Amino acid sequence: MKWRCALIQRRLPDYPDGDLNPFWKRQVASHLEVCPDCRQEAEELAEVMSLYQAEPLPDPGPAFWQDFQQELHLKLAQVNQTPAPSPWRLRLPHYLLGATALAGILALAVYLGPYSHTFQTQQMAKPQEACKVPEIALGRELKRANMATAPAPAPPAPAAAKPAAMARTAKPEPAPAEEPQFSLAAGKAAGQQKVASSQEGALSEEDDLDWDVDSVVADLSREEQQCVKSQLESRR
Amino acid sequence: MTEPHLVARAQEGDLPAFEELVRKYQREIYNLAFRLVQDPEEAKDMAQQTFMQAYIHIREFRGQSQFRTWLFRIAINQCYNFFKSKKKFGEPVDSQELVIVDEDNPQEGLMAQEDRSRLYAALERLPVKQRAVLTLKIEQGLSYKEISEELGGTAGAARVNFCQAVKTLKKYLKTEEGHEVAMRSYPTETARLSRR
Repeated sequence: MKWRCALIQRRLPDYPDGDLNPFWKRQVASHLEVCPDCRQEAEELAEVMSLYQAEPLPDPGPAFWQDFQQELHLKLAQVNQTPAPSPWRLRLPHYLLGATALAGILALAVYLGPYSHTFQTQQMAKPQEACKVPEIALGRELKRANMATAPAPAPPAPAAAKPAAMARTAKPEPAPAEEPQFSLAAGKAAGQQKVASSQEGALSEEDDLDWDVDSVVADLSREEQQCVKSQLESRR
Repeated sequence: MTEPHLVARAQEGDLPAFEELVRKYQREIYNLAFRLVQDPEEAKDMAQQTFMQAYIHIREFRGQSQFRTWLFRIAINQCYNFFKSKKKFGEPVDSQELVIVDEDNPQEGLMAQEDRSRLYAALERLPVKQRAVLTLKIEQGLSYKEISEELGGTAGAARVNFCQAVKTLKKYLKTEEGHEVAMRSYPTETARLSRR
């Protein structure tokens, strides 16, 4: 078989009434005029197609269709009665339900557990620190005012004065940037501390509050202590 | 009532509207199933299964194709499933039940019966996919593109399948007609088989 015959015979079932485009129709027609083998093949294929088309399936009759519809009606009615799954229902395979429940419990435990408490306390601590900063400044101001009014304080008791002095020498540096400058030394200290971040400054001020107020109260007499405390309370 | 309207009502669960669609397409679906499974009772079952599946999944029909071709696809899938189960359980199909004699004209009826039995015997030997292509193309009048949407693949593959089906059917018809397999000499037949 020549290659051209192979090309033509591949398209013979669609000739002349099939889905062949006009180009191939012309090609097939012109080839069939000159090639007896392909012409015979085309005739045989046409015979097969005509036999197939001449043997349509016989209609089974109205009784068959009536029976068919009755049976189908019963089946469809059965299908119609079964409830359809609700669209909002979570369609998970049963083996994934346990995993989903476990994930939910874990999420709840993390939300209500100890970690959430520490997180909340951290969140709550930040505004309190921010509030303490002006109080520290106030305490220092009061202390300096008292020192000015009483230039020669009585020598402190050794047991009470030593920790206070140690505390002063240990932590003289942390002076916040936002603290008002009352003296040259304080201004120098503030200039040195400008490089520190605001967060670190706030934490150091919290430390200042502990030793500074105690030292102020330790240096003064009882009357002055009461006076300072009353002033602090009134300022607050 | 138009077909899209019937489909829309059936999608809302209207059983009479769906039964109207069943009456419209029952013959085509039955014929397609008959050509594929070659058995009237099985074809009836396949057609009923097709309509049941269509009713269950009718909400998934989005109107991107014709409702008719959607039904064809379901019917073909049902028939494929039938063949799978038949292969599994070894259930035989009796093609002798297909022969119907015309009682009015017995002589012509006998001639037609011979042709029909030849055709059915040849069709039975065809692969299912080629049978499906033949019936979709010749009887249902689908284009190659629509056939490719039904059976998968491309329009070109559907064309090749159809051509192959017609040629194979012609070969089988010749075999059935002249009993060529029995009459051929042994070397000829072995040579023919070895070429496969």
